[in-house]
Amino acid sequence: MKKLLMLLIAIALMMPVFTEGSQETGTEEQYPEENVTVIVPYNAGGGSDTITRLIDNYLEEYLGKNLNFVYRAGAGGAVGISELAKSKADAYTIAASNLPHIALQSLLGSGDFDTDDFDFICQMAVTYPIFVTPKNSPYKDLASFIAAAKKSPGSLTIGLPGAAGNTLIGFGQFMDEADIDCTLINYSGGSDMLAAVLGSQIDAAFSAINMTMSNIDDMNLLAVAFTERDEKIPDVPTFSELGFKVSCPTSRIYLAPAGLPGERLQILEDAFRKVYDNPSYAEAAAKAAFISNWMGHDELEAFVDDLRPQAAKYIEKYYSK
Amino acid sequence: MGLLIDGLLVALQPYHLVLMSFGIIAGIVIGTLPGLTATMATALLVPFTFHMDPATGLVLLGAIWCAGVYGGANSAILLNIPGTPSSFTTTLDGYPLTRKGQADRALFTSLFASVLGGIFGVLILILLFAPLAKLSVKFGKAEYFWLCVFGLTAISTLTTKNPVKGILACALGLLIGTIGLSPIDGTPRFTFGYRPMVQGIALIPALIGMFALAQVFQLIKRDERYIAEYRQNSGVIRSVVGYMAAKCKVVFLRSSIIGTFIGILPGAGGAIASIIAYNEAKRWDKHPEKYGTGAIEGIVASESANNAMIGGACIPMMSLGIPGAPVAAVIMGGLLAHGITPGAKLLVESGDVAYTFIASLLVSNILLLIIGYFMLKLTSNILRIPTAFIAPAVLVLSTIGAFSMRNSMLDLVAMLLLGLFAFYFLSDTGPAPMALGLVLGPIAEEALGVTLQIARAKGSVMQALVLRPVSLILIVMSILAIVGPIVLQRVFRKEVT
Repeated sequence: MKKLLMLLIAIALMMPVFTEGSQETGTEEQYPEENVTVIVPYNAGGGSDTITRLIDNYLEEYLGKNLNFVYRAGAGGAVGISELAKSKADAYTIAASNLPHIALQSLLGSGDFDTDDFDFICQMAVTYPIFVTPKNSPYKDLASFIAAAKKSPGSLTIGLPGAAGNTLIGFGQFMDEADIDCTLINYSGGSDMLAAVLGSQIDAAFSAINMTMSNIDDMNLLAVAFTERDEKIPDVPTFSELGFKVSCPTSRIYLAPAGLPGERLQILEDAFRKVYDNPSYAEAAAKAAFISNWMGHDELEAFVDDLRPQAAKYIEKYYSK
Repeated sequence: MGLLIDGLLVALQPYHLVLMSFGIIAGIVIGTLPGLTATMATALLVPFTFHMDPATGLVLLGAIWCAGVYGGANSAILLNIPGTPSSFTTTLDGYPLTRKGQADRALFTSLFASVLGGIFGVLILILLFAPLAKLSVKFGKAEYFWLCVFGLTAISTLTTKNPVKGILACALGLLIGTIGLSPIDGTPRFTFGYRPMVQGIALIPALIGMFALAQVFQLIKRDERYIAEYRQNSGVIRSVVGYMAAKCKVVFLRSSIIGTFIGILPGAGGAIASIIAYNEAKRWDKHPEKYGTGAIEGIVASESANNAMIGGACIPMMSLGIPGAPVAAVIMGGLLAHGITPGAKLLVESGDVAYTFIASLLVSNILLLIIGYFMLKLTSNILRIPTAFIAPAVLVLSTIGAFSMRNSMLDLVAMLLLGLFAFYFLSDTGPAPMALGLVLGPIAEEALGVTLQIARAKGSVMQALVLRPVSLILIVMSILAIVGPIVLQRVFRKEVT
């Protein structure tokens, strides 16, 4: 009896080996044969989760399969993306992520990956910061802020909503372009920093557009750090209109381990594109305060190549004192 | 006022009452289970509220929040395991009462204190919405740092038996809090080249280890058939209400004010509220020695503070779009998903939704009193279950809770190691001092880091950190808290001799 039991257990333990084998023989045309796992490197209920769930509502129509959600929060998203980097490049594991965060994390050593480890699928949405000053600040426009910064280098403070994020790039670009020197203040979150602006604890800040909208009457909006103006605040100029090339969006992107076989990257990109073009998705995304903005694989790879040297430069300049 | 009454009428619709009741039951269960917190429950529920009317979704989330914060006290009292971080000071007096066979006394106290504290917080929210919103942003990072320092002086309250060890344990807690990414520049620290350490030691798994796991080991070691003798004391409600009305008015009022105030400060959280409230209750009591042995006042302080925190946390969330607590952040996400922008215009543009939410918090607290009463009869039966079943069940729940925070194996390892550490080395002081360090450390560090960055720009550390009105008050209070008792002791001793 005992021997029989042992035999049964042994057979049961071998079962996964067989199933693994049969999976390998799947033919290329049929991708995807099963649901695609998406690693969300933040907590459930956050922005990445929300937009990915919106996409998932439409993805079945175009991909034939749904997404399975896996949450791997920690270290500002670096934990989940490190896991993606170690996953098999079979297009059955992808991740939601943010640029330039992953580029900065790979440079700072907080993530166990390099941007070359990934095939970038697409960008679905962006968000960007507005350069703001407290309501009672003497700097109501960019020119007066720059003039004051030139007068006393290093004494003006600019708040950033987190370490190693998109605003570090924006801050660096602004310092270079305007040829000024300010002190950057890293907060541990956008809401912390917003409180500091409203309480006049700092002189200025790069504040994410969504958070800025909540308090639009309680601060001065000086410039938009993106290539286009925002339709909700059409009177606020972009940095480039004022003569400074400062643009530091956060891109909500999807990526997979590098080296996907055959057409799979294309299949994924096409499916996401069709979701992006679906008017009812666009409406739902806009309602949830996402600013839809598309970049395909090729465009995104070029964007990352442009981003990396800047990220390296500003980390060197501002984080290694 | 008219809007508030309209909101109250919407909140009292039968459908909403049913939803709230469901939310309260779920919240109490989740709060009671160690490792499952109100933050997690609301985060998981937010996607469901997308399909509801905005007001309905908020009503549900608010009910879960109130009940979840209350529920943490149940396991704190019955098992010596705080169900949520904000109830860890409840263990200090709740569990000794349970051991004395007065679990029902402690449970009723926590229910009444939670409900009254919750209502107090909401009333403050209604009455002082605008001025407190302004105040909350005047509290700069320098003040946060000193608030944490002041919170750390609670160490003297938490360790009466072995102060030196208590201080060391607290320092160790502070040190563990620095593992992971630096909040200032994102560089990894103390990871010893081991990648997963980059994410740091999360608070919840660490607390589960120190409290729940250590308690499981303790129960096994003690080898008694039941956790405590279970007696249903007759007339317990009358005696608890009578005692609270006679002796706890000041404690309740002070703790609720502290709780609401801490709630207003974004990023401080319920744990700090209950620590400071407990510490102050003990400091001002004529018989501080009874704290830690089963003082009703201790439970009142801790539980009224953490529930009063809810009303406070709603103030910056609704008026400025700055969440005062993790759950407030989740609820704010839910608002945004409905296209409602919190902020100065919320009460004008979406006043109906906002006032329904505020009114529903009042209704939720009253429902909590009724549902909590019946649930309490049920939960106290935990004491009738033999330890042989309780210990493994807590172990399984703790493991699930710790793992489900971030789905990380590191959290499980941290939980196990801290559990063993607390069991072997902290059996006389209890895990509270170390928990204090873990809770306050990261907040203090981040606040100090930001302040020092500002100091660099302004060219003066003194000005940025010390020479600010509120900072100075907090510094003086901290010094008095440390030096005061020593001086008093000297003076009194001289009088005696």
